[in-house]
Amino acid sequence: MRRGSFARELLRRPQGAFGVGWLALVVVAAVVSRFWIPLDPFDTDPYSAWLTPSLAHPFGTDSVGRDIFSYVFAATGTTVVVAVASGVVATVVGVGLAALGSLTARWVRESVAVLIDVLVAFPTLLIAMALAAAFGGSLTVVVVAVGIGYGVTIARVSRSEIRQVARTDYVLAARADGLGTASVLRRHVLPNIAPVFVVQLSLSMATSVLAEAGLSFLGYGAPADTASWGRLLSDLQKFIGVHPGSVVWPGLAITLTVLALNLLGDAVRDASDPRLRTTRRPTTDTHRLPTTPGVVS
Amino acid sequence: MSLVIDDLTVTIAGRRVVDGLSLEVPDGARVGLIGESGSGKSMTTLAVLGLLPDGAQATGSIRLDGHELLGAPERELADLRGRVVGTVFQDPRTALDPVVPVGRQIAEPVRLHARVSRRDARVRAVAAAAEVGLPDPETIVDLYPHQLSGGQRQRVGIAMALINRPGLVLADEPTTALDVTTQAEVLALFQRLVDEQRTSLLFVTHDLAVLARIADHAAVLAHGRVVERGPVEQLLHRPEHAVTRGLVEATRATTWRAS
Amino acid sequence: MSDPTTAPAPPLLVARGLTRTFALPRRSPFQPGPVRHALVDADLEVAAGESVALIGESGSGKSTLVRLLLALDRATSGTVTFDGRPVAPDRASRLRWLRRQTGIVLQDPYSSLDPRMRVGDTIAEPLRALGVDGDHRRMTAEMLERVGLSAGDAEAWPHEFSGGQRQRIALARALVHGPRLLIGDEPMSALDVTVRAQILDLLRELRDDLGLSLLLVSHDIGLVQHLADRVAVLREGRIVEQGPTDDVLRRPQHPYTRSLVDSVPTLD
Repeated sequence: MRRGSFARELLRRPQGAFGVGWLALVVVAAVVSRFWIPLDPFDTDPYSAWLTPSLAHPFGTDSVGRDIFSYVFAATGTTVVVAVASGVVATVVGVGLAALGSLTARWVRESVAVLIDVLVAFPTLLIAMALAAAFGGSLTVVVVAVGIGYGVTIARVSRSEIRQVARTDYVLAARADGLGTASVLRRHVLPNIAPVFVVQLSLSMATSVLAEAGLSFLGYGAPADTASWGRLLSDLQKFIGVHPGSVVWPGLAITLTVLALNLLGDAVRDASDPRLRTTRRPTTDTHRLPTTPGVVS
Repeated sequence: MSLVIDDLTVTIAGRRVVDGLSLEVPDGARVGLIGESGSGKSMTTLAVLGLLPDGAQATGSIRLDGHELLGAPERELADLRGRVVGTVFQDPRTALDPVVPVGRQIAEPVRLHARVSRRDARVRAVAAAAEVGLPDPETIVDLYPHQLSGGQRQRVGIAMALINRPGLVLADEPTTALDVTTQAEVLALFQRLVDEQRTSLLFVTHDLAVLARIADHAAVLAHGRVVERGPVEQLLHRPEHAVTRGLVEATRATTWRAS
Repeated sequence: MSDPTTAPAPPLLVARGLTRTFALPRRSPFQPGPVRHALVDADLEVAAGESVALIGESGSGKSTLVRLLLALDRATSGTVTFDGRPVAPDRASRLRWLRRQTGIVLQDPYSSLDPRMRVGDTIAEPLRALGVDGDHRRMTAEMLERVGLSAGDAEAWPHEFSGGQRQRIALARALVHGPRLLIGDEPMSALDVTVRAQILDLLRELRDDLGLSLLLVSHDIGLVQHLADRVAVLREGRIVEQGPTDDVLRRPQHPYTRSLVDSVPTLD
C-alpha cells in the first residue's frame, strides 16, 4: 500500500487527526520531560498549597504545594512506557497464541483453544491485583497483567479471524496459483486480519492506561516516587469535597489519552481498508450499479 | 385481490432505485417482474410490503384492492403482512430462523393474526406442510431448518406464505438458490397452489426461462423503470425493447435447447 | 472436426477410481464414527484440447473432485495423473509443475479476489508464485485487455468492479501464466444472464485462441451444452453417466440424467 495515501487517509478523518494529534503531544511531552520539566513535580511547598491556576502554575497546586502541571507533564513518560510496553507484550502473547492455535497439529490447536478460553475468563484488573499482591505493586505488574489479559483476547479474536480467512475462496485460489503456506500467510491472511488486530491492540493500550491509573490510584501501580496520573488522581481525590477543581487535570489527561487510543485504532482500521477507497471513476458499464453481495435489488 | 402500482419512485441516498414504475396485478393473475441485478425489482417488492430500508423515500401509489398502502401506518401494514399478502424470499438458508423448529415458523403467521391455541396452530402447520409436499409432515414440523434440505426449506417458506390463504403472494426469486430439479418441483408446487387458492401472484426473477414457466404477463425492468410489458409469450418471441431483446438473446445463448 | 486417421489426442488429465471419504465426529467413544462418502470410485479424463463438463447438483461431490484433481486435497484412494505424472498433495514447491499447467476460476466473484490486494497484484500472483520469467506488469496488462478490461484497471481494488468484471479478473488470473488446462467451478452461476452470455463468449474465445483444455463443473445444463464436448454426470459422489454431450443430454440413459434434463426450464 502506498504510504503517502495511508497517512492522508488517516489524517483526513477527525478520529485519526485527533488521535494522532493528542498522542503526538503526549509522546513529545514524555520525551521532553526526560530532559526538562517546568518545575520539580515533587517539590513541596506548604505555603503554596491549593493555589488557583496562574501563569506560574497553569493547573494550580495540590495539597502540599506541588505544581500540578509539572506533575501531569512528568507523568506522560509513565503513561507512554506503560502503553507501549503492554502493547508489545499483548502482541507477542496474542500473535504467539494465535499462531499456535491455528497452524499446528490438531491436539495442539485444541489445547491452545481451551487455554485461551480459560485465560480470557480472568478480568485483567484481577490478574493485576493478584500479581501486585504477590510481587508488590509496580509498573511491571501493570504491563504484564494488561499484556497477558489483552494478549489472550487478541489471540482469541485473531484465531477466529485466521480460520475465517483460511476458508475463503481467495486463499484457495492462491494455493491453486502455487503459493506456499508461508506466502499465503504473509500475503493474504495477515493483511486481512490486520484490521481486527489493530483495533484490539489500540483497545489493549487504552486499557493499559486505565489500568495503570486505576492500580496506581489503589496503590498497586506506580511507586510513590514515579509520577503517574492515577496516583495524582488518588491524591487529589481525597480533597474533592473542598477543592473539586484540580481533579479535572489528571482526569482529563487520562480520558483524552484513552479516547485518543480508541479513536486512533478505529481510524487506522478504516484508513487501511481498500473498500473505503477508490481509484477510478464509476464503472464503464453504467447499467450496472455496483452491488454488495447478498443485497438484492 | 388486485395490486396496482402507480408511478412508484424509491430514492435511497439520492439515487433513484425505482423510477416511476407502474404495474398491475389483476385479481387471480400471475404477473412476472424481470430484470437484472440493480434494476430495482426487489425494492419494488419491499415497497409494497412497506419494508423499505431506513432512509429510503417512496412516492407514488400502491393500491391493494383499491386500498392505499404507501404511507399507511405500520400497524395496518403489519396486519396485512402474512395474512392478506404472503411473501416468499430468495434464500432458504437465511429466510428461516435457525433456532426455531420449522413447524412453529409455519404456524407463526396463523398465531400472529388470530387467536389460535398452540395445539391448533400445530395442526394447521402439519396440514400446510403436507400441502407443500414435505415428507412426513408430523415429524418434520419438529425439525430445525438446518436439518432440512434447501428445497425443503423453500417449501417451508412457501407454506408460511400461503397458510393464511392470502389474496396476493409476492415471490422474490424463490427458486434462484435451488438445484435445478428442486427448482422445477418448487415451481410446479407454486403453480398448483396459486391456481387452487386463486391467489394473485407477483413473481420477481432474473431468469426468463423460469418466468416462462410461471407467469402469463410480465414487465421488464431496467434502471428502476418498466421498459416493456406484455404477455410472456410475446416478450419471448417478439421482444421490442433493446433490454428485452438483450435478455432473450442472452438467455438463448446460455440455456438448454432441447431440439 | 478431428481427422479419423490420426491418433486420438493424448489424455491430459486422468482420474481413476477416485474416492474421498470424510470421517465425521464420533457419536460415542465406543463405536467408530460415521463417514461421509463425498466421492466414490470416479473415473474421468480430459484430453488435450477437449472441453469436458461435470454436471452435478449441490452435494454431488463436484467441488471435492476439483480439489482432488488439483492436489488441494488428498484422495482416500484412487489416482490422478496430469500428462502422465502423478498428482498428490505436497509442498507448494514440488507442485509447481502442476500449478504451471492449470488455472482455476471459482464460483463466487465476490470472495475469490483478496479485497486487500489490487487487481494487478492478484492477477500477477501466479507469475510471482511460480517464478515465471518476463515482465509481469506487461503480462498482467495484456491479460486484462484480453478479458475485456483495460490495462489501467490493474491499479484498482476488487470492490470497484461488478460481478461480471470480477469473473473476468479471475479468468485473467487463471490464465496469465499460460496453463494448458482451465478448470471452472460453477464460474457463471452467480452472474446475471446477459453477463453470463458475455463470459461464455469470452471463455470460448480464449479457449480457441489459447488452445485450452477445459474442465467445467456446473449444474447448468444450458451452459454445458454450449461449451462441452463431453459430459460426466455426478450424483451423490458417483459418476452415473458419461459420454459426448449431445448423446448424454439428448438421449440420457440414466434416470437421474433424464430427470435433470427434464427439469431444466427452457424458452420453448
